[in-house]
Amino acid sequence: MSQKTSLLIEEKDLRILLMNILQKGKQRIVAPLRGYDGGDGGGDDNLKYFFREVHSQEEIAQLPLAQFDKLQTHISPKEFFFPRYAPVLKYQTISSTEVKLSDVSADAFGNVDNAGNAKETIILGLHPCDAVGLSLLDRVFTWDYDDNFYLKPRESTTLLTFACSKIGAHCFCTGVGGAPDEQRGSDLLFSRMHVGSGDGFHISVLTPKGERLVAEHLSHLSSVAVAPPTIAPAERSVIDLLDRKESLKSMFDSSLLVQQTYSCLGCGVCAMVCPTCHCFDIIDEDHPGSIGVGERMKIWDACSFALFSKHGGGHNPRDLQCKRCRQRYFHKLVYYPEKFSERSLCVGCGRCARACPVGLDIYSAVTSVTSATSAVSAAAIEGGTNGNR
Amino acid sequence: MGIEELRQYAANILRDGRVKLLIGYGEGGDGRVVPMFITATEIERCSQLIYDQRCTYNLSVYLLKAEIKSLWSGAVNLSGKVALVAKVETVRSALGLIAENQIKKEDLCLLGVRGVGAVAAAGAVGTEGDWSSISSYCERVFDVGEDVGGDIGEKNSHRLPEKLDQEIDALLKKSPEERLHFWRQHFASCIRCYACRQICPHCFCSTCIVEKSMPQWVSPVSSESGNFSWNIIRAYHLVGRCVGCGECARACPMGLRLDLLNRYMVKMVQEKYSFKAGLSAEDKPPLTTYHLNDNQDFIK
Repeated sequence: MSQKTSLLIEEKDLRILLMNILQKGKQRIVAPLRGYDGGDGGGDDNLKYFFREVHSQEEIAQLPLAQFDKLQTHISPKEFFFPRYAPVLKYQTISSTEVKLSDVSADAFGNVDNAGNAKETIILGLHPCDAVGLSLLDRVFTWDYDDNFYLKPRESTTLLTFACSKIGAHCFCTGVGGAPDEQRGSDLLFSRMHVGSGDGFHISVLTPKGERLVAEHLSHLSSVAVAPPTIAPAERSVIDLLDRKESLKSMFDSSLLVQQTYSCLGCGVCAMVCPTCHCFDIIDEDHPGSIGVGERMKIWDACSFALFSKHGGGHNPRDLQCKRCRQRYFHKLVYYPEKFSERSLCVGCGRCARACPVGLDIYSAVTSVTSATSAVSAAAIEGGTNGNR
Repeated sequence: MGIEELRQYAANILRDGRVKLLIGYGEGGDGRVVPMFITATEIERCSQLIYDQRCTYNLSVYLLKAEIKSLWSGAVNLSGKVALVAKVETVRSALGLIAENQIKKEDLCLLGVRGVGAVAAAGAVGTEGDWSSISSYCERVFDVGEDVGGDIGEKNSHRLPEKLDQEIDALLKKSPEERLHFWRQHFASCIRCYACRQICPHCFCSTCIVEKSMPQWVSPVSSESGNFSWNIIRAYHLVGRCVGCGECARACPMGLRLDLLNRYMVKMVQEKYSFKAGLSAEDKPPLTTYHLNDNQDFIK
């Protein structure tokens, strides 16, 4: 079988393809769908899209495929591998000295069924930053222990990423080693272009998973020697945060960093919408009406919460909010890169800045703090040298 | 020119040492508004203070934040004062905090900002009429407000009390099952980021009930039942204390209509106790006090 690396598909054919996949029922399709707007008409439309399972042909007919290259989802697709809550085991208290434990497999979000099998899933319409984010998360969940709660759904999911046609407000992927058309982490990368008689996409087939999907559903398309369209340069010049790592490290005790985070109120929005924040808490949740019988749950946690680092004895090493913010910035830009010899854990999707209720933005905070110490690189940026990323 | 007057005044009170810290609104780039914290060492930043339709933050929430408090009420000099650029809800929240002994009246310098024209309609969730009760608590009230245009006013207008009342009336006409469905839909999507709690000036407990784990009173799991407990309990804790600034609903990343829940509580308290939170620095919230002449006829 000859390998297909480059395909062209018309938008209407892509829609038909999705309808066929849904009808066959072998894979579930997840795509950005409009969320419930709370009955108030909604605010910014961009903020109201969430990755959700597509259940009907009508929903596919309405998918804004032509917008996928710029549509920003509110929460990252990490919730399909690392849901906001999921049981890890069942417990049953038999006596004061005996507790019976048993495995659980299904989660409440349909990622894993009762038999412990992850559902074959296609996630459609994510951006390169999200796909990279998942490949960075893979490192965490396979680091000293293979976390099957994460890995099973991950292995059975194919990522159909859409390259961004422009860099949106608060986006800065090019400042953390990414690009609006980056391939890493994606199985198929769609780039918007004119195909045949209308709008369509160039598809880059990037992985064996992507090849399998193409063989299964797109065998009628023949490979073309067309390169994906080039993405227009970013509208705003982005400072390279990777170059600022050492400078940020030197600011660990700086009052400038404290000042930058005065406004942080200590909610966890930034961590929850983030494609790479992966901290969780473990709690025992008794079944309603029973004591000592229930499930041990993994739930999303956030380093911005005051309780996050509070010790059992009452001491809290991160006793102030500024220290919690610093932890978040340092984990993204210093600790993770050093631990895994990787780029930054922040992928520059900008979701935290868009969702922050008081307008705090990791990019602005870090660039302004490090600008104070790296006058040379700041001058280089003003001169138009924006790194080579 | 209202805003220039405010900037001048802010600079003056910092310069002559009457306040140690001023909290106001400034530009954050990309069209965002950010809270500004200005101390006497950087008085020139007062020229960047703004007030327009985008300034929705209830800045009273910063009065109790540790890092911010250390800027005006450090152990070295306890006589410091903090100034707040305060729209109507900010003033009311501040008065509520005084009434609940969270901050001293003499520590606070309220610079009221009474939005004019389009800004008044957009920025205010409380009614502008409240100024008659609260302006005496302000050091000064500035008639300011720059109309930045666009449809921000339109977008904010669903937060006006009249609009909320219409929605509440429509909800109350529904059957209990339909109402339950409405709230189920909302609470199901809650991700427990606690933005509602953190942005609320009146959620000042040092340990929130949901953080108490011995025993775990409220489930921290973002399942439907856990979310129901959390959101209902938070609403209950704000009865008679919420000033209706609507910041919880605005901060919610999932679009939960917490404003409807809180507005209904505000209406109930007005009806049962003839009390409106934050109109005075002396009156305690009705559910935190007991009077022999309290209305009791609804207790069955």
